[in-house]
Amino acid sequence: MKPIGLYIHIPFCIKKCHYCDFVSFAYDPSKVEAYVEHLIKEINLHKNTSYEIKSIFFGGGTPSLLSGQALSKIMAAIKNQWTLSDDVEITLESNPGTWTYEKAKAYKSLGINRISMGVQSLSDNLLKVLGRQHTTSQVYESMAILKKAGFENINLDLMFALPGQTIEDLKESLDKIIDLGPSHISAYSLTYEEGTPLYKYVDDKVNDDIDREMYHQIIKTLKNRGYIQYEISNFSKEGYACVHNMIYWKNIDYIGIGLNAHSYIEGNRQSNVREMDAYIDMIDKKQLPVLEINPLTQEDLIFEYIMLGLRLLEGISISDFNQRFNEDFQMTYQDILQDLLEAELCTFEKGRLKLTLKGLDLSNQVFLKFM
Amino acid sequence: MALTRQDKIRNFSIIAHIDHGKSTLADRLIHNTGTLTLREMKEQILDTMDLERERGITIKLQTTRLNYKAKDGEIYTLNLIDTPGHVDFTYEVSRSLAACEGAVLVVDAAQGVEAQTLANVYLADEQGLELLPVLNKIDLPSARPDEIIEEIEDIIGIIAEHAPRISAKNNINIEEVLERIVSDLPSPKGDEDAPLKALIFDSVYDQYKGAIAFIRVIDGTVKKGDVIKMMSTGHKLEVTEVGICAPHQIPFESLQAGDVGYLAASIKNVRDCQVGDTITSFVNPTSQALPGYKKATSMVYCGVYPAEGESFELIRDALEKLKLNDAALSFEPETSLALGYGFRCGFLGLLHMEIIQQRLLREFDLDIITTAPGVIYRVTRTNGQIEMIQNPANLPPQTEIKMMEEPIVKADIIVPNEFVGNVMELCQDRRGIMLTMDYIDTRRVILHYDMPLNEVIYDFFDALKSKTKGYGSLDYEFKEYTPSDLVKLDILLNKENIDAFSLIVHATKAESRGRQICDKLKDVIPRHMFAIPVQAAVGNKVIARETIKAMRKDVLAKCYGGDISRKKKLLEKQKEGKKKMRSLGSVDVPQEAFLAVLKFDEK
Repeated sequence: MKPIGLYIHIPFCIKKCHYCDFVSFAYDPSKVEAYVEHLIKEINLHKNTSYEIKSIFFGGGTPSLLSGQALSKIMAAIKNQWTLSDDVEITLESNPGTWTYEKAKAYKSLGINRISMGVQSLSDNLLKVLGRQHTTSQVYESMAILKKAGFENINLDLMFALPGQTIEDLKESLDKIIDLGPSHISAYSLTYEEGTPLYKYVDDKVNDDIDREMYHQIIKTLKNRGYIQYEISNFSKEGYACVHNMIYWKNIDYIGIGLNAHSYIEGNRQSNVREMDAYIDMIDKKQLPVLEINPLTQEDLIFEYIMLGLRLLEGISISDFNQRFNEDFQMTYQDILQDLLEAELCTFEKGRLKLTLKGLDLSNQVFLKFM
Repeated sequence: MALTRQDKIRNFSIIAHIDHGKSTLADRLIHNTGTLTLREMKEQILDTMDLERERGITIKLQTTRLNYKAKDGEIYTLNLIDTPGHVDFTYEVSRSLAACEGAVLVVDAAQGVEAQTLANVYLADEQGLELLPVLNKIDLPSARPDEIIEEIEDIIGIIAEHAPRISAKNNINIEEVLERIVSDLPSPKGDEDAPLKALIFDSVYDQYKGAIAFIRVIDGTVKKGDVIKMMSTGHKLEVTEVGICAPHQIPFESLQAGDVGYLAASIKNVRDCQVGDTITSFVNPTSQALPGYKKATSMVYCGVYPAEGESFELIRDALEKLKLNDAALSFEPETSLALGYGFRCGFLGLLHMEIIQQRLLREFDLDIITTAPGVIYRVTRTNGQIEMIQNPANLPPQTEIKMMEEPIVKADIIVPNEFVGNVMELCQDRRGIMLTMDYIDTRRVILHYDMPLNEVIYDFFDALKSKTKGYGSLDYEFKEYTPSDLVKLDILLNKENIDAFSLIVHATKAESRGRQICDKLKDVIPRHMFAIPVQAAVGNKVIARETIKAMRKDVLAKCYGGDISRKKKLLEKQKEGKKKMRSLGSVDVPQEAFLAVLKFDEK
């Protein structure tokens, strides 16, 4: 059976954060109930059932707003449709302040074995600037609940280059996050998306020089504290790299379920509809709610392999590339490689092409060369 | 005694300072004489280009025939020949005026005489036209007609006591203007039996009829089938159609002495239909051509180049089409090391330049890069050879230059007296030399300056407006070339001289301009993988420097829910943006960078 990943999208939040430009809806129990019903129907509409699920990821939105009962129905539908691998990783995204011990216990009993929590910062002031719905004390409370319920694989998200943030602010948040003892940390610099309140109103954006100083500080500190950087934004304790993440970077197939969810199946990238009404309507008509299907050409496949593979610190294996695409990587990209090596954006090590630290900062410039 | 045909014709223009209501009055005259039905009447009919309507100015002149039944019971033919109202277009104004016997001088009853009121009056005087002063905007609370009448009499020296007091906008006293055109302006006095003599005062290209000449018949008659001759070229042509403009073209049997109308003769090339030329009969030609006009001289030059991916050929086609009815536009191919093949274009002034640029963008949908505007310098080489230099890149090396001269204009500036200090400061900063200052009335002053044209074209008009709260008005005309201490200011990107950015400036201005430009370029050129020095230099000496820091960050952090396509789209967008930039040496430069050199904002 073909190994695949499964992504389930839960587009509900208590309130939208100031930096968010995703399709999301205010939490409303009756709407959530109808949506979950359609998620299950969508799962059942998939004809090909001969997949082995290596990872399930409940993303959002705020999936931790789901009741134990709702989650149990979804899990049942998945198990009914596909086979779960023995070592399946099942992650659920959450926000601090949405946890109770009962909910955590219930989730755990349903098979959720990895929790991701959007902490973002441990400064109450900056949390307010971001429009987050939680406080730092709720971070500690939630973390205690999760540990008590028996979760040991926990990711905490950290955002940096926040409006007005200093290096000292960042170091403080970072230390506090590490002290909470997560097995995995994702660190992203804030992106100002057009149309968001933050994009419109913030005038004390952190400049790129400080942004990078922060990023380098994070890399250094996490390394000292026993975390391994395995991707541009992802760090983990040994053996805790996120299976689901690796599926994206390693071009393994995945199916996205839910509003505006994305899939990569049999060489096609596809996305579901973005409108809730259309989503409900199509499923009621027993159609998969697909908006777009983009078959990838050989050229696309090669570019994506490079773009996604180079995001990983281990880089891309030249022999794997040559075998997969029946090409000679070093010949084909001779000039580009020379430029990249000269500009110190990449290095060759043991048959692999990798980004340098400078390359991590300027990865788009590297990818553009291959485009 | 019964009136003759010519006794019942009045050929006139309306002249005014910008915004004093010239076009509004023209519309009103057309409307009130019933030349157009209301349905046909769009606001400001005579301004036909979108651009004109947007900016409230008239660029291309239009002509229209009005029929007016006067109080004496006679029906008169009034030929209104519209004129452009901006300082850059005096050339076109004089063309229109040459076809007239009189002019209506519109003066804003609140603002009074302005710089272009005077400039236009001088032009009308040169043509020996009779002037009919009219006070417009009489219904404004700030109108002060009695004072303005005194002002007109004092400054212009014509009797204005009985000037009609009107509001073109609110249709007050328009009848009086029409009556006074009949009573005060002279009728044409041509000889109908003499050989044909007609003046071409404008031309336009029509897809079906060929070039169409707008003519004023001075003597004789012209009709369909006549064989005519263009006096400047001797070209022989057969008339295929004559008619009048109302303002749309209506074919007529013939045009006679005193008439204004159009003439088509299957003229393939607008160059065979030169404005200012005299048309006569081939078989029975007149002995003497009309004086014609002096050729429009371009005063301001800039380079026009295709932006990345745009076609040089398409730009040539567009410029050729624009030139058909804009004799003042000139262009010739040139090459820039930085920008490749393009054109050096000549314009009457800055506004003219801006209008042509906008028309290339809007009407022809072209993506162009324009270089900083400059004037023509007269350079005397050490070997005595004299050259006229339009493009800074063609300036000989400093060691081969014996003398450089720059064009000086005579500038008249009218301002309320509380701004005199500001204006004098501005003019001094722009190397102006004050000649005289006169009081127009108790509140307003006219300043006469000699100014280097290269300072005037460098946003002088905008600065004047901002320093006088919009009240200052300006008119200028070429005076002479005078020796000047000029230098070539070069801009270097990553140590490479970019010829498209070079400017000729006065030695005392080189450093401040250099600093401004470096500062602007630093802001508009995106960071590259390497640090880029931006330098301004005169000769080998660097006089200003900035650095565009190396790019520190270019990364897409998060991958939301496996949305790889989003990542790819962002990269594709980035790639597109890069493609649109011009590669100048090792540096990718966005189009805004060229504007940065043009415009200057006070910091």
